[in-house]
Amino acid sequence: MLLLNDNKIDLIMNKIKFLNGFVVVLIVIYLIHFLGDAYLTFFTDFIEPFEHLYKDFIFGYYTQFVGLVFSVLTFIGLLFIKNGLGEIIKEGFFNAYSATKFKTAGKLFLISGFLNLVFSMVLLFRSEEVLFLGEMGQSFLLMIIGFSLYIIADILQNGNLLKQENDLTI
Amino acid sequence: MPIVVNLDVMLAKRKMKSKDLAEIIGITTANLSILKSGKAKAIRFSTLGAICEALDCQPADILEYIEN
Repeated sequence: MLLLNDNKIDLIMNKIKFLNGFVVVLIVIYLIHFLGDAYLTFFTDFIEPFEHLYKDFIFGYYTQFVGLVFSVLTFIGLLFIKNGLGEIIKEGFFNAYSATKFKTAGKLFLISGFLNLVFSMVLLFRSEEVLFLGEMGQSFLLMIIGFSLYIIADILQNGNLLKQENDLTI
Repeated sequence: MPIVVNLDVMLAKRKMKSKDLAEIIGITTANLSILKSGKAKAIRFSTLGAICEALDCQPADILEYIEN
């Protein structure tokens, strides 16, 4: 019975390790995206055809960087998830540290998703470019992930309490 | 907590060491220490039964309710 439990825990840990690797890959992709974005904006004329969308907008030329700020929020959220997953791999599934990290990541994803949604809606109504409809879908997805992380953090916190009770049951 | 564990008293009465009791009932000395110090949140019936068997006593000899 104990062996079966250990096998199950190993299986879950393997999945967590896989997820951790996936998050690391995503962090690297985000870094490449930031570098690529900076290169295309400052060293090429790639962005010129789209500049008309932003020209007369609230922040003018800098409107194109608003989306980048939201991406940075998501990126920081990913770093928190990476920390939380790393702690799970080291200390086991139920620990308070991971719960706190996931909660912060969830908040960041929710904020980033919501702001991006509002921004995309404003751009959609203003420019009538269908391109921003896809962005809105992505924002919703990000908000759902953020909310899910919030729920996972609560489960981890409750699990941590149950684990403590179980450890102190002789 | 209003429940007090009088395991020390019973061990002294039976002139048994904690280490020996832990060995007989099959738990670690660390866990027995948690139980003796009153830090434990709960005790399993199986553990309680094993302690009663090893010390030849009743659960009431080990656990006592004291009103706050």
